[in-house]
Amino acid sequence: MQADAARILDGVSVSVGAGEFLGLIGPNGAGKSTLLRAMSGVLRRRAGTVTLEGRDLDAMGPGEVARVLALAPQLAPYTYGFTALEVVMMGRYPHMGRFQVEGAAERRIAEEALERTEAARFAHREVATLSGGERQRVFLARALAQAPRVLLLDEPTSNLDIQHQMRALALVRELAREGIAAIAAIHDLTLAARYCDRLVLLHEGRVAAEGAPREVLTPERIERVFGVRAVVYPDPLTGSLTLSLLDASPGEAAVGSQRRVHVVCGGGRGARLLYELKRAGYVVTAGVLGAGDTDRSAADILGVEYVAGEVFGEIDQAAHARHMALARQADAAVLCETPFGHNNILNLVALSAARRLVSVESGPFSRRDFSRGEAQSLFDALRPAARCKTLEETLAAVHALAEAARGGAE
Amino acid sequence: MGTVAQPIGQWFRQSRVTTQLALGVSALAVLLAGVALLSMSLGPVEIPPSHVWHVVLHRLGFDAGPFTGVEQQVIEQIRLPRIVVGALVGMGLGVAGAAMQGLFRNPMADPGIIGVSAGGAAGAVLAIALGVNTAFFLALPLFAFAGAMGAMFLVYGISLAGGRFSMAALLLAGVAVSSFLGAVVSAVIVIVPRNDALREIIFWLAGGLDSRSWEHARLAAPLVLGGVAVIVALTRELNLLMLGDDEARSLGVRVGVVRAVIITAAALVTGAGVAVSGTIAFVGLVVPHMVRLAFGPDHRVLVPMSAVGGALFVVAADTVARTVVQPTELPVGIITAFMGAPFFIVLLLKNKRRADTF
Repeated sequence: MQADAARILDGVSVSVGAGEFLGLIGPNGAGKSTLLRAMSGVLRRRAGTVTLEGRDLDAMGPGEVARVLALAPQLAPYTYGFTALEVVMMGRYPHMGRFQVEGAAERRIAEEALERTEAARFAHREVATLSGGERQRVFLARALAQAPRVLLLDEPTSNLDIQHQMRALALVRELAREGIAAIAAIHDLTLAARYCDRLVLLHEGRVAAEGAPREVLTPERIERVFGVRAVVYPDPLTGSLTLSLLDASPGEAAVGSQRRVHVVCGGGRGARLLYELKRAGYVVTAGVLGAGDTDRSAADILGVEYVAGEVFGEIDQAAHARHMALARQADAAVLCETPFGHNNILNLVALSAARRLVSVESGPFSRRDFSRGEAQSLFDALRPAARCKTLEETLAAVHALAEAARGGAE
Repeated sequence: MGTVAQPIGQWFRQSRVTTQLALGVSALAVLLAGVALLSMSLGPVEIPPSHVWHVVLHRLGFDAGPFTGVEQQVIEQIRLPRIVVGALVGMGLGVAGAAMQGLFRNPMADPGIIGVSAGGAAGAVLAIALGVNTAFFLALPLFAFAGAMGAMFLVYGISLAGGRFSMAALLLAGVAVSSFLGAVVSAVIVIVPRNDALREIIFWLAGGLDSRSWEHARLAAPLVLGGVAVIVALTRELNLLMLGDDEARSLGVRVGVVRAVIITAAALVTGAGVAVSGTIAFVGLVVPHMVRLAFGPDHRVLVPMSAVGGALFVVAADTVARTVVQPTELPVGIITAFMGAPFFIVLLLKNKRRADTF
């Protein structure tokens, strides 16, 4: 199936094949619903064509289309006194003769559809008395009862709780595996990435990107299209793409305003700080982080530039040189409460290149010196501009130093 | 009572549409036949029910028993045509009301919503005021019918202006055109010089079936039966339209065409009714509601049952109208409102929640 349309949609060309689950994503007003309505033939197009199973949609009768293609609406405002089963049975109308009434066969199909969307429990209740989520499952069942080969869903999860969001999308994917071509407009990017085979990102009526979820959902694109900064990484448990939003309130991102902060961390002592600095809008870099270090995973997720080291290996000269360069470029540097031994002691050396240093210390340094005093003497020579006990204090100190850096530069 | 009625209602609702139709329509039809027989026996000339039966059977070619020639005259030339006209009008109003409520997804809709009643009234009032009604026998019904259809085309045309249909424009145009035509009627009433004409106008506006003949039945029958048949054929589409235009379209309904056909058919049956009986209030609003509250919203059941129910309601009301204050007659429209409104309110109070979910 393929569609092109104009005006609200401009130059959009989308196609989906049997067995595929395509996700339509994009901000409000991007044209997702319009595209679905145009593709279903519900919306009269000024221009563009829709091709359904190789045939021009406009040349097909509406009944013919309804036997191939089903549209599950975003919200079904009108239901009046009909029960759920009665509404689902209406999905069989396109397959029945004008004066044929639904019999046992139609009823069985309708009941199976209600089973699949987990709505059988309220089959005989009036739809108007159901909750939004229950209603949505009824209307999904109605689309299923239509036995379509192409299924269009307009935000099928908008009213559902998380359990039913996942089950509804899993069901659509299952239907796709059974050979249906499915397109769904989905707001939740993580869910879309998890269940869809392919994503189309719409922005202001145009296709901003198209492809596999990991190709489409890049932090840069998300920021450009949705206006939010996000980190994108494969969920460590499910392996599917996950988004974490950097929930900067308006203005907050300006604090950092692209100034550079370098962090020496490791052993999980820096992850929170890396996140907060990134959120505040700094360009964050980090010192040598060994493979498998939790702070390194955090840096990966956050897109923090860092110098990579070996697992528990000593820092080699090349890495150290790059680390020195990062520390030197920074407007401010932070030393986290990371333990130091022979392997990572060069990280302390590198900090001597930093112009302004904040040290996080909730206890004496000696407790995390595992180098028989060598680290202690390096630490003593650092003379940080601020010593902070908490994350908040640390951030405030970084802000102050970064501000001073700008003053100095001007 | 609810303990018995509820499971029966549920069983009915879940049985096949054909079963529902067969049971519901035949039950109402039996009631209608009973009321019709009773109606034929009541009146200034009292005819024993057995004689009524004999006359009917005689007409059908059976020799069942005795009756007098006067009785036969009264039944065949006065009471039966009146019943048939009443049944046709009631049937049309019930079906048109059900169709309008479904099409507009609005429980307040009735056939008058598209200006048909006001148009019919204006046409009839003009015919009376101008004296054309005395020129030839069917002048009044024809004027009324022309007025009804003219108003409908005007209202529907406004809603389609600019090439795009608007439901809100249709409703508002209906209100505006009805108000305008109502003002025309009021103006005519105020300035009409002849008192007999005034009385005739007022009686016609209240809606009456007095001295309706087979001529009237012959005029109304093809229009009413034709329009009802069209709407009955489109009941599945009405069901789908209840879910919304997009939904209906995605389930294969040509929404624009179906809507135009249903509106025209509803105007046809209502216009034919108005032409032969004046404006009979409340039938188109109440009858579909009563059927819906009892049997659910499926138009494939609702529309045919509103047809029989509307006929039953008008015939019963007319029987009361012409017997309750003998020797005078009340216009049937007064009785339909008198009987219908309180009954409707009681029903509404008992089913308030369901009325909300219309």
